[in-house]
Amino acid sequence: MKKIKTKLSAYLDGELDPEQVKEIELRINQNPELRSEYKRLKQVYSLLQREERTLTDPFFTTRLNVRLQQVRRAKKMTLWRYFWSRRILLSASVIAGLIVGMMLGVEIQDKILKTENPENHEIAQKYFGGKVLSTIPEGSITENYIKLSGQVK
Amino acid sequence: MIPNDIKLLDDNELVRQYHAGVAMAFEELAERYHTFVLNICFRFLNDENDAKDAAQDIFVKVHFALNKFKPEAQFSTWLYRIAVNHCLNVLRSRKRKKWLLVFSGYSGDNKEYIDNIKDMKNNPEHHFDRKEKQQAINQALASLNDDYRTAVILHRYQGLSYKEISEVMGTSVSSIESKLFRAKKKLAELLKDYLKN
Repeated sequence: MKKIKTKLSAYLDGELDPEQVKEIELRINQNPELRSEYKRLKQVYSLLQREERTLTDPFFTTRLNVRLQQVRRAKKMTLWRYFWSRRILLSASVIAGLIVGMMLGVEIQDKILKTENPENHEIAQKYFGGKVLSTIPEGSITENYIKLSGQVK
Repeated sequence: MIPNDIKLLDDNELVRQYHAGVAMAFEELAERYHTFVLNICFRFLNDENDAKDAAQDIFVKVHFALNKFKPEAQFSTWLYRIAVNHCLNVLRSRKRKKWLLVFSGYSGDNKEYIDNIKDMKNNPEHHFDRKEKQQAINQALASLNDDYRTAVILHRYQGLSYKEISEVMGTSVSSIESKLFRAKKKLAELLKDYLKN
C-alpha cells in the first residue's frame, strides 16, 4: 500500500509511464482510501502553487560583470597584502640568512688550514682533510683551537 | 566570435569557448541561467534582496570554478547543484547567527510591502487570510528537512523532472520519488487547517 501511495505522488507529478498511469487510475477508482489520499496530496500541491511568483533581474549580467571585476581586484590585493603583511618576517628572514651565510663562510675559510710548518701537515691531514695552504691567519679560530689542544708545533 | 553565434552554442560548448578565452561565453551562460538560479534562491531564502545577492555569489563561484567542470557532465545540473548547496549554506548560516527568521513573511522587500498595504486597504479580510496562509506555507516548507525541501522546490517551483532532481541531488530517481511523497505527506499534516475536507 505504501508503495502504491508513493506512486500516487509520482502520478500527481506526471512522472509515470502510460501503463503505470492506467494502473494507478484503476486503483484510485477502486480504492476509496487511495482516492482520499490522492485528493489530499492534490490539495497540498495546489496550495503551494498559489504562492508562485517569479523574480527577474534585467541588470543581472551587468551587475555580475562589475562584481567579477571587484572580486578579481580583491584577489590581486589579497596577494599583495599577504606579502606586505609579512614584510617584517621577510626582512628578518633575509637578515638571518645573511648572518648564517657569513658564519658558514668564516667557518669554511677557517677550515682551510693555512700553515707553513710541515709538522702541522699531519694535524691538518687528520682534522681538516689535508687542505694545507700558506699560513694560519693570526688569531683565527682554527689556530686558537690547535694551540689550545697543544698540537701546533 | 560574433555575439549572435554565441547564442547558438550549447552550454558545454560555451564552457569550452570560455576556456579558449572567449569572455562573452560566460556572459551568455549567466544570461541563460540567471533567472532560474535567482528563483531557486528566492524559494529557499524567501527574500528578494537575499536571493539577488545569493544568485550573484553563485555565479561568481561558478566563474572561478569553471576549470573544475567536467565536460562530460551537464552544465545546468552542475550549476543547480552549486546553487542548491549555496542556498542551504546561507540558510544554515542564518540559523547559526539568528539574524533572520527563515520563511517568516515580510523581510524588507519594498515592492511586496507596498502591494501588501494596497491589498490590505482594498480587501482587509482577504489580505489577512492570504498573508496568514502564505506564512503557514512558508513555515511548513521551512520545517521540512533539507532534502525534502530541495526536492519540493526543484520540482514544484522550478519544474525539474524527477530524473533532473536526482542528478542535482546525486541520488536515484526512486529516492526522489519517495522523498517527494514524504514531503507532501508532511506538508499535508502541517497545512491540514488549509485543506478542504
